[in-house]
Formats: sequence, C-alpha cells, structure tokens
Amino acid sequence: MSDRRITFDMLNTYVDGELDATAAAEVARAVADDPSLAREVAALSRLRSSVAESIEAPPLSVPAQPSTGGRAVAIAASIGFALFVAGSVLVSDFDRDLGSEWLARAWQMHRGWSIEGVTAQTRASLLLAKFVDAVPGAYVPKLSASRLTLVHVTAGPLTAGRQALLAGYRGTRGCKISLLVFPSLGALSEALSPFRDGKNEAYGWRAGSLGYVIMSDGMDTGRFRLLAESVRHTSRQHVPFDEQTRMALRESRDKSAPCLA
Amino acid sequence: MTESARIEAYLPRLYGYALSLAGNHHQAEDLVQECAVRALTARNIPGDEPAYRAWLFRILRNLFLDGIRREKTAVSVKEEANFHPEMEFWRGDERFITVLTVKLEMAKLPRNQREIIALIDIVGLSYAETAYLLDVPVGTVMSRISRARRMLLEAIGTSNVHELPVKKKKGIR
Repeated sequence: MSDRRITFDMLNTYVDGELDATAAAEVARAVADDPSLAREVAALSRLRSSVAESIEAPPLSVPAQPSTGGRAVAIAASIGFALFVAGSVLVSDFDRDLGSEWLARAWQMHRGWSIEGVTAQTRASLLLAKFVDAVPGAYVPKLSASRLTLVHVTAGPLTAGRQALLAGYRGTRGCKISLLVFPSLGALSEALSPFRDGKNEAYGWRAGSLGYVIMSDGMDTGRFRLLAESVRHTSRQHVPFDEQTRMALRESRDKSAPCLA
Repeated sequence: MTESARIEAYLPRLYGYALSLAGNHHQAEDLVQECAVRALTARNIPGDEPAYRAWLFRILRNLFLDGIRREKTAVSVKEEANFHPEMEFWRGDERFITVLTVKLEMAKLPRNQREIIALIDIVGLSYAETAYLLDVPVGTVMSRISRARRMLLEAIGTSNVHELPVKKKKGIR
C-alpha cells in the first residue's frame, strides 16, 4: 500500500530535485519503505531520461554574427523600405498599367545578383526581418520549406516612385529564385500571370496592396509552378506554408531535375 | 565568448523546445534560425547565464506565439488552477518507457503538455525558470508537469507500440 501522504505531484517534484531538503528526505524514506513508490520514482526517472534522449536535433549552426556594417546596412535598408511603404500608399490609390517596363526592370533585378556572390545569410535574414518589422501588414513569404535558402536581400526602384524588395534564394542544386514585393501594379491581377524571359520563367500576382513576382533560373517547370502557387496562397493568407504544402513542395523538389542555372 | 558561441551551446535544446511547440521539424528549424538571428541582433543581452537562457527561450516562444496569432488559430490556453484532485499513481510497466515510445506518444500530447515536458526535461529549466518563461506561478508549473507526465505515462502504457528486445548479432563462423 502506498504512503498516501506522498502524492504523485510530490514524486515528480522529488525526481526533478525541486523539493527542499526536509521534504526530499521524507520522500526518500517513504520510497525506501514502499516498493510501489520506488517503482513510481523509477518510472518517472526513466521517463525523464527517455524524453531527454528522444530529441535528435539536426545539424544546426548559428548564422555568422552580423558586423556593425551589417547593422548599418540593415538600418539603411529599413529606411529604404520605409520609402517603399510611402510609395505604396501613394501609388496604390491610382494603380495603372505601366506596360512592360516594370517587368524588364524586375528581370534586371533578378539577373543583378548571383548565387555565387551571396550576401551573408545572417545579414539577409536580418534585412528581411527589418523590412517586415518596418511595415505593419507587409508580408514576405519564406521559401525555406522548398529547400531554398535566403541568401540575398535588396531594395531598388521598379518604376519611378515605386520601390521593390527582392528576396533572393539559392537551392542546393543550383536553383536561383527571386521573390519581388512591391506596391501593387494595375498590370497584375489576383490570379497567377505567367511571364517568360528566354528559358527563365516568372509568375506575378497581386495580394491586397502589394504586388509579387517570383522569378526562376531554370527550375523544373512543374516544381516552379507549384512553388509560385504556394507562395501566392501564403501571400494572400499571411500564414506560413502548412504541413501539406511543405510536403508537396519537398516531394516536388525530390522528383524534379536539378536546376539548369 | 562571442554571442554566436553562446547561442550555439543552446541550439539542440532550442530545437527540442521548438519541436515541442511547433510539432514539426521544419517549423522547428525555422524557429531556431529566427531566434538566433533575433538574439544576435538584440541591443540588450542579459549578462548572467540563467537570465540569458530564460531570455533566449522566451524569444523563441514569442516567435512561435506571434506565428500562431498570424495564423489566427491560437488556441486559448486557459491557466489551470493550482489545485487539482490528487492523482492516482501510475501502475504501468516501466519497461515500456523507451526513447521510441516516448517520441511517439509525446507527439500526440496537447501542445501545452509537450511544452512543459520539453522545458523541464529537454531544456533543463528549473520550476522557477519555467514559471518565469510561461508567466505562471511555480505551483502551476508543478501541477502541469505532473499532469503532463501522467498523460504521457498513460499513453505509453496503453500504446500498442513497444520496442522489441534487440538480439545480439552472432559472430560469423
């Protein structure tokens, strides 16, 4: 028969080493006298150690510590993004079709960075975080679920008075993806619109007051379409990819050929 | 010690905690990465280690909760009263408590129970540190961990999955 003065809560506190000396000594005596309590303590101790061993953390690394320069760049970029927001407010009220000039500029921005000469990953993440923090309501989807790593972030003019944020991603098999976010254009609808520049594909759409264009260098057509659809969905909902989408993206990546870029 | 080295020492435990919150590996990795970036770029970093540890895990928790708010699927976590009827002791078979069964059954627990177990058994926080992180009284931590472990033990005891004894390989003659 168990000593009813010793509760299950007390046994937990005992195995966690959280009882004071007097109470711990009392529990220890009760456990020594009662095989049933001893079993409880053994089970709880075993549970604790099994829980601790149950976590297999993948290889993780801390991003390189941003230098003072990185912080300065981030602040400068923040200011740039504030301008971007101001532009958004000014321009979104009178959206107009600006022809294909903006698209040519978007391709230029995409071609303007290389997966070989990438921004330090921390700095890129930091810049993006600053951008998002600076603009309540702005949403920049993350593509890491598709085995793509954010390696480059920049802001630049897309049209006169209209800044665009570019988030550059690198895949593990040579893929290069740019995601542009900018004050919406009348040229874009809420549906996906395909664009092409030689072998390079792009999709554009509008979500609220923001326009998005995702651009690829040689990514498998099916995989890129799925990625674009997923990003479009998340840009409208302002939520990260759900587990089903993550799995679909991973499967699509595993089944597709390496990028040509 | 650099800030990077300081964080690096906590990565596996941050990951364990993130996994208990998110319930999936990818989101857990994202949370840890984002937590590291936030910590590296913070202006006021606690100097002493216990405060630093609590601060770091709080960043991760806040990132997760922010994500939930964005998803608008936040489950309102009602604070449990400190008092609850005394629990019966567990009468299951201790041999069934293994890393495999724990891993399987942990994943099925409600998030707040996974979280309290992770904070104490994986992260290694004291009750007082856990109470600070969760912003609840120490007595609540005590009853929550007890209840969560009880649930986990019950689930392991009633599970159909049990590890088979491993046969030792015979040498090749």
